[in-house]
Amino acid sequence: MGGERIPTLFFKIGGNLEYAIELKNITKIFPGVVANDNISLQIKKGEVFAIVGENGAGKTTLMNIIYGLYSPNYGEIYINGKKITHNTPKKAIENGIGMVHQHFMLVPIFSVYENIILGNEFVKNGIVLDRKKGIEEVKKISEQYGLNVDPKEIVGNLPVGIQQRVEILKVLFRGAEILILDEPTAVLTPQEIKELFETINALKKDNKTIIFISHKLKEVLEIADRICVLKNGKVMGIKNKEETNERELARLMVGRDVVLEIPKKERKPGEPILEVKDLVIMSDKGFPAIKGINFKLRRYEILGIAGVEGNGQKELVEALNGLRPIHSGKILINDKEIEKFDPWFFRRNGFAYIPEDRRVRGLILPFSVSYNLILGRQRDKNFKKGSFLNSGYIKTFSNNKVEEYDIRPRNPNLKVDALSGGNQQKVIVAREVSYDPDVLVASQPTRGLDVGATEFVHKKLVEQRDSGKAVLLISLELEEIMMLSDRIAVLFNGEIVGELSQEEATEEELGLLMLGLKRYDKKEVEGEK
Amino acid sequence: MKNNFSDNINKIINWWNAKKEDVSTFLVPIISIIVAFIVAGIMIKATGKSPIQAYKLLFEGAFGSSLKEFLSLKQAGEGLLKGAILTLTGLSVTVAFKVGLFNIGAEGQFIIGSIVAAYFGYIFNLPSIIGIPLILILVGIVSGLYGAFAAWLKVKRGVHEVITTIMLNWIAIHLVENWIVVGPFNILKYYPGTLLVGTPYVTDSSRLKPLFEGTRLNASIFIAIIAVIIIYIIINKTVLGYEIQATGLNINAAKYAGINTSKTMIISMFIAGALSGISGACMILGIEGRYPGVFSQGYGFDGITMSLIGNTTPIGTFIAAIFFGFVRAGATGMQLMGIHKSFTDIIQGFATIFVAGQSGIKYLLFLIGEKRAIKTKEATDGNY
Repeated sequence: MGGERIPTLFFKIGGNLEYAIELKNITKIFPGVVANDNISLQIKKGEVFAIVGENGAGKTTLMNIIYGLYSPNYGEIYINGKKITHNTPKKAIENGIGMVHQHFMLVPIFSVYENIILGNEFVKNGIVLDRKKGIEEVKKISEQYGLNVDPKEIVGNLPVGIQQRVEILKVLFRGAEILILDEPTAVLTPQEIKELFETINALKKDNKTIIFISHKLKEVLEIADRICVLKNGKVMGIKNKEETNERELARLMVGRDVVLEIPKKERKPGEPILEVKDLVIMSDKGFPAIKGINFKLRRYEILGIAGVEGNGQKELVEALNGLRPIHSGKILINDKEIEKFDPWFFRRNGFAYIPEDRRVRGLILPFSVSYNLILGRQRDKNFKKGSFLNSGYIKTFSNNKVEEYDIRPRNPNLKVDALSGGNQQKVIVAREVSYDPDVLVASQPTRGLDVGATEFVHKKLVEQRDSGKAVLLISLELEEIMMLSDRIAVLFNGEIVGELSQEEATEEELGLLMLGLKRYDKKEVEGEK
Repeated sequence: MKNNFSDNINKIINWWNAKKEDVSTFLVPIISIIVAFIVAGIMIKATGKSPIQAYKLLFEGAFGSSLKEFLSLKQAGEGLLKGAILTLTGLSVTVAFKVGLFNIGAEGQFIIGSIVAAYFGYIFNLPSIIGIPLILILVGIVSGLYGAFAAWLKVKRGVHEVITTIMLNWIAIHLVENWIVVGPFNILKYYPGTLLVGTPYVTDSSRLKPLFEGTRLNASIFIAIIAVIIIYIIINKTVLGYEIQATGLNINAAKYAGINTSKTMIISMFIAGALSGISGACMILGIEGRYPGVFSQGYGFDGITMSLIGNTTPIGTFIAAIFFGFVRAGATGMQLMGIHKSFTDIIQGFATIFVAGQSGIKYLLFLIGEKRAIKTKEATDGNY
């Protein structure tokens, strides 16, 4: 293992030893884009340094430069005061940098210790893999940092939070002193986030330097010592935690004031539109994923479905979309039972959807913005003339939508692939709202979006509600659910284990329900009159 | 001076960034074909012959040795005729690609189309203006159903279309050549004692006749051009084409949006099958006059190549097919210096490989673009 470190003292050429990483005038240009524009910053040893910014602000590019995946066009990098030229990932690792990627780089069928020692295996008698030593070393390092994990467990069977722990152990095992965590909380539950933060604090005590990349401001304010805001490749400011607040950071990130709380009209639920009765849905493996749930959704109402990922949300959403046949039970819309499980039929009966994965289900990336705006509506009266597409009407329609939803760049003929994530989501929202649906099923509608785009989507959901439509919001982000929903139902293990009104709901209470540690009496989840 | 220069460079780069994709989809096949000719030339050289001489013969074989001869279409007509046949099978593969399916079955559909054309061509004795379109429609329906069958198997049973279309090719070949042609529809049944093998000749009114004296070129070329236009319109202008593209580009999103992707796939494969079948019909009615004993010439498989080189667009397929039609017609000329005419398969093969490797070529083009962008930045900033 690469734990041995060369004393950096001898390499003090122009750098400051106080800093783990010092960047001077880093500029990285891609054809047509300046991803990093003259970035200079210093990261002190032993601090938690957060980098926040919207998608496309240049966070990932900057990290890839530090990690040696990209070389900057201009500028200098100092690691522990030593100037690094011709950086490569190998060099970065030798210099004590470790990267924990957002998408884990683990072999699922290998055990924990096999994953950790992969590439740095212990060998005995020249060729034989020394498994025993591997297990011991992994145990040792996990105890040292208080990262409890069974070395022999198969990684694929572990929950996401523990897998992330394995990733962290992997970089520590390679002797990392500086850890880069790329959006580490994106996939975690509130409880797992808490544990991750404990881990980060433990690492900090051990004088490790941590670079924490995120776009969730609350988390950043909780864990980081200093926060650097990037926008369009430029540093907008570096703030001490004590001196700043969420509002200021959001303003720096977006470049304008951001409404963090969306104003809603007073709650006055109307008649029920969607009714789900004893619904049972099978998973792909043939086991019940949804085990007989009941709920009613009314006009002027947002019903939030909270829960840890993998408790039946996917199956529920797919059934409400018509992609997955139900096993038993009933889905009624406007008192009419749905018999045909086919997305087209659902849409004709007043459903519209914001999918959780816009690049897979929401959009056809090689299509233009305009074609994406009419996806699914191509056979509607106005959009076709006989067997032909009505290109004149489509053009006016998409020009209007691009204007109305502020989709940038304002060119409906552009491929949707060329748009930023936030603008892609706007295309989807514009299309789905244009169906004028009675029920809008929004499944993690703000996943991977930045503050500005999130605000936009939230506004549109509330607008739907205020205009007398109903919204079913399925999200893993508790904060989002608590902010928007009039009622919150908690899904655990395929059942609704509790239902709370917005006023009753607290993070602790929902957390307990989500983890199955508490459950309310089996009563019908139903909005009061 | 310097400012002007960097301004111009900037303009070029902006243009490049805006057009890069269009330009490279256009450039890649052309570069691939040129490189294929160079590599094939090296192979000619390796056999001790002169590639320049060979290509000269190829060119003369394709277009004729003088402008006058070219305009008389004596030589060039042959290239157009072969190009027309290739266009139709190429379009068949292109339509299937558009909906996200790989139609290796063009060959089988071609054979089914051929035998159907041979049969109705023999049965019908109507005025050409009615008889031939009627034959083409019947051919389109039968081979269209043959193509759609593979899509139906995929939709209903989940069998991959590559497997089914390959198997359907063999079914078609054996069904036709080992049963129909030697059995129920054998020429011996109709003309006992003849020495010919295969099916009887189609009636004179069912034949596609040469357009001019001294050439075999017939109405196939018009059929091909009409097919290109129709397919272009279907794909780019109609609701069906929109759904075909949506299904092909992202079937998940298409399903999610409520598009009936199963139906779209079956319709597309019907169209694909019909096109290959009509290609076969052009071959029978225009060139062979009957279904000969042994026939399979690989026009269906060549359709895959044409579609790929043509970047799976109708117009691109047409250009590639006409080009290779000429190459094939010209290849006969190369036989004069002892190069077998199947040599064109080598050129075709290389071109396909280079097109398939287009991400590599595109990456090279991208690198050039990036280097220029950095240089401009340096030039404009000047400070660094």
